[in-house]
Amino acid sequence: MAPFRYLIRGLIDGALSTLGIVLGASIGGNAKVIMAAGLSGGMANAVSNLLGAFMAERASILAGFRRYERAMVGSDIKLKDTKIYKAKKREIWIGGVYDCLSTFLGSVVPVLPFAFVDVRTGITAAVVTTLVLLFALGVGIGRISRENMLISGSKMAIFGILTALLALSIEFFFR
Amino acid sequence: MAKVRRLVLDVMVPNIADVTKLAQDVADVKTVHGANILVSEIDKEVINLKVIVEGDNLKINEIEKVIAQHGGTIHSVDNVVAGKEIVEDVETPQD
Repeated sequence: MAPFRYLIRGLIDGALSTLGIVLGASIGGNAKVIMAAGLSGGMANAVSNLLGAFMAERASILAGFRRYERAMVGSDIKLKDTKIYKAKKREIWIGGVYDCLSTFLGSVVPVLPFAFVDVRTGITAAVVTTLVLLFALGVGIGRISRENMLISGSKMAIFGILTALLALSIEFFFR
Repeated sequence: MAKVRRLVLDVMVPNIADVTKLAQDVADVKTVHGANILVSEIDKEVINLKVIVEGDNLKINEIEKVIAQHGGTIHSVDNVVAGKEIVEDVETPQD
């Protein structure tokens, strides 16, 4: 379940943040610039998620270990030197790699239309494809959490629309 | 010197330890033939275990090392069986 959680999180993160990048970069009107900005931004986001997952979760695990070490009365065991830590570290790395790859995968979605159509059409296509992805992810999340899939999908799509509107308003400000 | 054939240990491990993996690792020790781990008590942070180990020439420090790798510690050695064969304990009228 944990890798699936990271997969969903990464896809949402990559798609939404890169949608913002491509909409902002569309001010230049150059498809190559938009694609380069989108993909490099997505890649940086992916690496940052890998690092973030590792550093933050590692710190959280080590902090949690102290509670158990204190409870081990009569023992000076350091859980950092045990197989428990090795197993946890492996889990973090797997999660981080899932997060990283899915973030980059998600970032490809809003960039891809610019490879096939002109910038103007590409902007609309980037928003639409990202919204479709977000809606599909929302439906998936709704199915897993046994909630209304349509509502869950719509909620995600609304977040996508809000992000697009905010990014476009910034782009409009600099126009 | 007579060889140790069975050990019964009172062990405490943190509640995040994998007891199944611990049993497998104890059983993987060269001199161990088999391991049996019973959970005697669980609380929020720790689990108390009764670890029964049988083998040819058991070395407690080897088993202790494996337990430590899982974050555990031996509280007490509750039973030791040594010699050419395993002698089971018997009930006496006093029991």
